[in-house]
Amino acid sequence: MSSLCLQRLQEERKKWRKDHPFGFFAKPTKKADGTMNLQKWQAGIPGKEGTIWHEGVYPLTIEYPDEYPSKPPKVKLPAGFYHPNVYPSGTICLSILNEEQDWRPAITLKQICLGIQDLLDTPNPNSPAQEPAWRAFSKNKAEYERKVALQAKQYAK
Amino acid sequence: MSRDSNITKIIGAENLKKLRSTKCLLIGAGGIGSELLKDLIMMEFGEIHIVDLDTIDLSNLNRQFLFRQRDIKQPKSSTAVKAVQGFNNSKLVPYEGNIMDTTQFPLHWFGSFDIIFNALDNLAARRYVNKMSQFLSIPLLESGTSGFDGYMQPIIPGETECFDCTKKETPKTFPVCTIRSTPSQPIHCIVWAKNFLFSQLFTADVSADDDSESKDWGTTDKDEIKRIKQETNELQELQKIILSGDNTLIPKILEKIFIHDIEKLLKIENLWKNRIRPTPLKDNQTVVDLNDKNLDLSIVWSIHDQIQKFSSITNKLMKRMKNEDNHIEFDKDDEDTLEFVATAANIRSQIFNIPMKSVFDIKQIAGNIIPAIATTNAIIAGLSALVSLRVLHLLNYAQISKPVELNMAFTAKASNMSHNRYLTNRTLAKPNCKCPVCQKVVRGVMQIPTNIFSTLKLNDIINILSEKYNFDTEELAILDTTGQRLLSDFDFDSLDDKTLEEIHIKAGSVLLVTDETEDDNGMGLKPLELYIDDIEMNNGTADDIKLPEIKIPLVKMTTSEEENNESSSVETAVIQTNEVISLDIDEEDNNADSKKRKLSDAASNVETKKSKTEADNVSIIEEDDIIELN
Repeated sequence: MSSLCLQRLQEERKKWRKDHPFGFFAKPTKKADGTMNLQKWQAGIPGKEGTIWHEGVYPLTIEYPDEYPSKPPKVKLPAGFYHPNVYPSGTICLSILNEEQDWRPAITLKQICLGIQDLLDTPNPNSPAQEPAWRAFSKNKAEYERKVALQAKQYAK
Repeated sequence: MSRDSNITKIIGAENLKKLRSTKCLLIGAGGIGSELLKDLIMMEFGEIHIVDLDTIDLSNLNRQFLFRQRDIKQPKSSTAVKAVQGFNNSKLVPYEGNIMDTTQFPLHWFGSFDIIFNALDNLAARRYVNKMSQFLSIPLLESGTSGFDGYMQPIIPGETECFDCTKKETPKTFPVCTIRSTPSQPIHCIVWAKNFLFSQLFTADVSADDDSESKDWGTTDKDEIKRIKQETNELQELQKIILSGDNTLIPKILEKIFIHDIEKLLKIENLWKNRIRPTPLKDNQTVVDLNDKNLDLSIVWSIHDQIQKFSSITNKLMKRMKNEDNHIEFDKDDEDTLEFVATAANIRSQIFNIPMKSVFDIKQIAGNIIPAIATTNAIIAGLSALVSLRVLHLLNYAQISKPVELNMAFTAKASNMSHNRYLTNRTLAKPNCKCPVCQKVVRGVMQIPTNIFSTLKLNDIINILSEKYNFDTEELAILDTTGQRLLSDFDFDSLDDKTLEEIHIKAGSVLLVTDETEDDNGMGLKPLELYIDDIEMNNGTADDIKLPEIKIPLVKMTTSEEENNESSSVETAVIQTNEVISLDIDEEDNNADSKKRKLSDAASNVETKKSKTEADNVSIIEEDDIIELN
């Protein structure tokens, strides 16, 4: 890992400590040897109040590549997560996480987490990542909302 | 005419005497290294120590002129030394090892040299040596080539920009959607075939993800779980076919990946609003015989031949799996794996209306081959040797009053500048004030008696450092930069009671120590980077620990978002006007590399191999969903 990556990740931890949105959490994971791995974090994203997502806190893993912050972190929800813009593997399709689209080195963890919270209730029908949720979202809202609510219960706070 | 009459004419008898007592380190005895070794010997450097971890390969011989066929498999460093004995007057010391191995090459060993020449082929080692030169303030001559391009850059620590002052180009990545759903170039299909399909079928661990009962599926809906399982299991199903060895099932593989998967994609209408829809294979196209046909690798085959070859190669690989522990790695020189990837990529290309390529072309792309050119190496090595005379103040007619008057050199293509000439040689820049390596930290060496590594606790280190540098113990973050491990910070103290030995801090570890306290103006102490060295002692105590005598300056701590933005735009500007890093790629070694170069300890974690890549010259690795060209 480059020095830039390491220093930046340390700064991300510090920034998060100083200021993070209510109901969210994020911290580095532990390695087998008991030390903390700054390149792999776990986070929790609460669904927005007043949406069908609000009951859940959704677990994220955030992996920072060695080339971070030139390259974006890889952010995943659990495999099989039901959302039109989430791949079956859990990988999230979000433009700010895509190097060729809107990723900029200045984007912080807080912005990523808020971006994903936003995405939960405002899926982008133009970049489908899985068929079932995308299909239900475009063609059968009732079914979509039922499944989302069920999933929210699964990840209840 | 005596042998040294030329160098005497150039630098004078007195300076030649100085040169003859100069001790230099040459890292790398490959393409540039062979050339440099010859140059340094002809210039009569007093001592030349040569480090290389590699052995000689057939493919090296076209340009690494010190080696012959009989030397294949011999270590490069010692073979190079033997080869030059006939014309050598310098003291030569070869080492076989990885320069990042702190046991073989501790910091104080680096400290014994007057100047360092880099003739490396990978970014991790370049960064590492750069850092060592910064720790010790030893001048470094950095160089690299890629095909007809190359660069040479003197680095005078503290005075001129260091290797990490400019952003280095990183391998290209493709968004996962492009690879999985919407390829538009041959490379996308090759990445898919090599990193996704091939690795899933022949390399992936079979037993993974089998515990469906305990798995968190993110839903309790039975149908939903079934669907997810199906989706995640489909590729495992294919792998099971491979493992079953039943070649009558091969058409099933074709059907799944070239018909059913494509049909599924077609159902997602939005993908095809602005794109040409793919055309899956037809049912009758998947029934083919499994006889291996000999086809010309340099031409593009018909789609029928692609499918036929795909089937016969899959059959072949299926049989090999049995004898190879159910694990085959892609290797561009393993014809079966290459042809599997080539045909799979081509069939997919055909489906997505992308031009197909010959196996030969795909080998270039998938194998990341950039031809190394002997002449480029000779030019760059020559410039490096020449400028070293100025760095060492031995060239009286071209004396410099300050290091920024030195020149670097790079080819037009590597810089996108001066298209009307091959080489550009601008003077050196000052260090970039935002450089994470040479500007954002203060450096020093912490010496610890050998006998107390097993008793000294992390907490003791925290206290000793805090006392010496006035840190706030509560706010101190300690990172082991070699293993990228956070050892302690405000919210993490469970290791504070462990001894250095227990947390694997040893001589050669580099700790980054940051006091996160900020005053009202956002000012705080600059982070401190400490190289841990040991002092040979039997009865040393904590009192024998030696810390660098430095005053740590106050700096602005958090970069605000605007500054981050600004710095990113500055970096981009630098890349555009300045340099693109290009490295000497060893064509045959890329695949073996990672194996060969792995260190047993943490240094292997930072081992990556990068190159300046053009769209077509890439080797490819994938980790799960992010596809990355390395």
